[in-house]
Amino acid sequence: MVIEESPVLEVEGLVVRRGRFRLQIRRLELFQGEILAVVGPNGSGKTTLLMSLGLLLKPEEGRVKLCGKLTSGLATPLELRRKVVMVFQKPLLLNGTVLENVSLGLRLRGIRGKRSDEQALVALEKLGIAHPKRRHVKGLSGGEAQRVSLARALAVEPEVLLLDEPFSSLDPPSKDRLLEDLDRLLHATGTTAIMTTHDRLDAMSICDKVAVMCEGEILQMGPTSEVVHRPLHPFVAEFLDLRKTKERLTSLLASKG
Amino acid sequence: MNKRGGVKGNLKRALLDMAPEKELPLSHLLPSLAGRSAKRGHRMTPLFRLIWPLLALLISAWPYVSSGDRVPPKQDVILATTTSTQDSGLLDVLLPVFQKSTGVLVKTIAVGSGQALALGARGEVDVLLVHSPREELKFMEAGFGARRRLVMYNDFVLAGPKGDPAGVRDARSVEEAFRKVADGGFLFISRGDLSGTHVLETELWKKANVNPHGNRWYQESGQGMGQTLLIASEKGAYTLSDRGTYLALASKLALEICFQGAEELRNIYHVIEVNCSRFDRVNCQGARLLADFLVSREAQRMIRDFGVDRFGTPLFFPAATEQEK
Amino acid sequence: MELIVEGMKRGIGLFLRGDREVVEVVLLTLQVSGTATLLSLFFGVGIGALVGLRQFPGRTFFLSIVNTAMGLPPVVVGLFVTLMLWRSGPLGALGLLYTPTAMILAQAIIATPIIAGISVAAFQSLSQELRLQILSLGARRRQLVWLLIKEARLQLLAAVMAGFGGVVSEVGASMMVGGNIRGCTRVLTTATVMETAKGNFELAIALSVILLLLAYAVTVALTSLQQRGHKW
Repeated sequence: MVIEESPVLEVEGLVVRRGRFRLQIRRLELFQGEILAVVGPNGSGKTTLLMSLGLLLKPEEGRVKLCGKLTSGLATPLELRRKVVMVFQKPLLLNGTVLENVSLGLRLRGIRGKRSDEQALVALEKLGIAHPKRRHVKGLSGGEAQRVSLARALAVEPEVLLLDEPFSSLDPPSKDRLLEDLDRLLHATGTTAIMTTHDRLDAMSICDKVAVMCEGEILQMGPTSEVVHRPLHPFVAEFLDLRKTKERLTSLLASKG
Repeated sequence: MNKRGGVKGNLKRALLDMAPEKELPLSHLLPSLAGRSAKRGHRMTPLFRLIWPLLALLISAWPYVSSGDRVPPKQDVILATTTSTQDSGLLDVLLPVFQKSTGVLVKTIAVGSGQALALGARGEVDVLLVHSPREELKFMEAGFGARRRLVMYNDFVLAGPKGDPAGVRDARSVEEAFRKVADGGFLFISRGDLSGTHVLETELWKKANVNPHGNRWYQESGQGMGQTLLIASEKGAYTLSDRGTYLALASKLALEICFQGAEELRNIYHVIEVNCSRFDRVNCQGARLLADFLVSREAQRMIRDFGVDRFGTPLFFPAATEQEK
Repeated sequence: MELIVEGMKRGIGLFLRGDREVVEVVLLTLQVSGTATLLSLFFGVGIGALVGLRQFPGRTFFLSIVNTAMGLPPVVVGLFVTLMLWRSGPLGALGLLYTPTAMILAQAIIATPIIAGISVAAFQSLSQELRLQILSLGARRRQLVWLLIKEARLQLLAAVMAGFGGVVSEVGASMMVGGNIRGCTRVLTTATVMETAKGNFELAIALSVILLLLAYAVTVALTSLQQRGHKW
């Protein structure tokens, strides 16, 4: 049962502009340990939302509060800014070994040498990458690179983890494996997470809440089952298409055996 | 909140949760939205970037310190002279002696006479050692120079291809020699750079009543004496050269001295101190010291002895004791 | 042909024997061109980062100036610097004309646009998202720029090599602002020109050989730095 506490992430009257695109979020709340899925078509503002919550964009209007404190994009004090980490869609790894990449966040925070290596190795182990010291990022497959990118974010143990379409470049078997691992990890550490995705089944797999976006606005947000069964907006209904979803779910579960 | 049960568990539960579907009127398809917008940048403080170049500037002071040049710039004397003078090597003998006894550093820049006088006329240099009397007099008349004194002289020679095809050797005067070259259309290489040598050559053509320009046998190299001699050697041409440079290169040249000794071929060197009352930054004291040195007995003796061991004959003749206008 | 071989032999011999004047000239060449390249590195990479990583009004125009300046004739730079440093010029009070410092200044002006131009392209080739990802991982601005520099190492070091190569080999500006003064501002290039003009071809070739070897040695060092840890 959720104890009544202040939300980890709180958004009010947010307006963010990126070029000609305008993101408008009236209200958003996320509590500690919750996993939110943000779904919607391409260009609906999912990444922009994530970047705003990741404090990489400064809002034109409105506020984003992290752990109860007011933020201001990149101008937010470093201590606070470091509590939220975003993982981009493409695994943006730096030239070097896997270990060097994963320990990057730690080294940026002043944790060096053996300590950073150890912590990085723990994260890598959780995500199942072998031989991180010797392997260069150039030799990684798509799925492995994605895992390294995730490990890099997890290594710093952020309060809030933002994942932008983490499964988009993966083939189904890799995706399934990663879903499982991620589910386990996030729940074990109690990390608050937001994940954007095209696929509504992802939302159901590991997310407690789902938000459906369209044209820069959240049409509906709430516990996954509620949104799926009681869509308040025709678009939401169509996007989450219950019948099709049920079919997919059934076949998916069948294949899992 | 999803209970721990893994992905499979969650999905199962979701399926079970699903109530009979409600049919809802489908709304019109919403248009897809614009793509990603233009880049956004953030401010980056370049402040720390300015600190490093300052460090680098400090490093650049390094050559100053390490070269042992402890004399502050104000005490340096900048001497402008001609390339032929510098190339002769005379200054490499004279100046160290001067520097040792006075502690004044002499910076010699070797340029053409024209440029040397032009620099002096701007007060950019402190002393001139040149051999272009006519131009020097104009310089003094214009008030750019404080004092002009005779230092030494050497002479020019008319060098030509071995065998002297123009028969210049038989000429009775230097004008006749030049006329022989022109009349026969023999190849002649000129410095063409307003150097002392070139100015003299121009005067001699005038004296010979010949205008060499525009003729195919008259070519201008626009380069130093050494280069010009080598070009003349390659092409089998005549050229006017100071004796010093010719001697220095003689072994490499396919030329011989065809005409020499005339009064007009005398090459006279003066030292001029730039007028410091006219220009702010001229080093008066240093200039005077250097000029005094060049006409001193010690220097004159070194001038007389210079080159004898190498060429058998001296390259320059001391003239400071002689009176000159 | 034998002239070249003789020259090469003489060059190596002079250097190995430690002929005082030659050693002086070589050291000064390194000092001047090395310092100039270092200065240009800081300014050049700085400009590269500022222009290559952000948008601002007039950016394209500014960049086109930088790119044009890459091809600035060294002689023109030398003339301009001379005019500035002349006693009668605006900076005449500094008394910098005919000093190694003036040469460093001129060479830095020549090399900075080269390094800057290539750096801009280097930083621009890094993805915008990479920057954001690094920031998201908690990097300060300083840390971000350092990481991006390391990421763009291949091109940035190429820029440094281009800059160094450009100034160690130039003679026009060095001659003008330095004056090729013995023991003071004589470097390998100006010495080579002088010896050629005097007709001492063998010595000129010898000096050229030494210059080439010097440039090669520095470039080898920079190339290995560039390629270190780079995987195919």
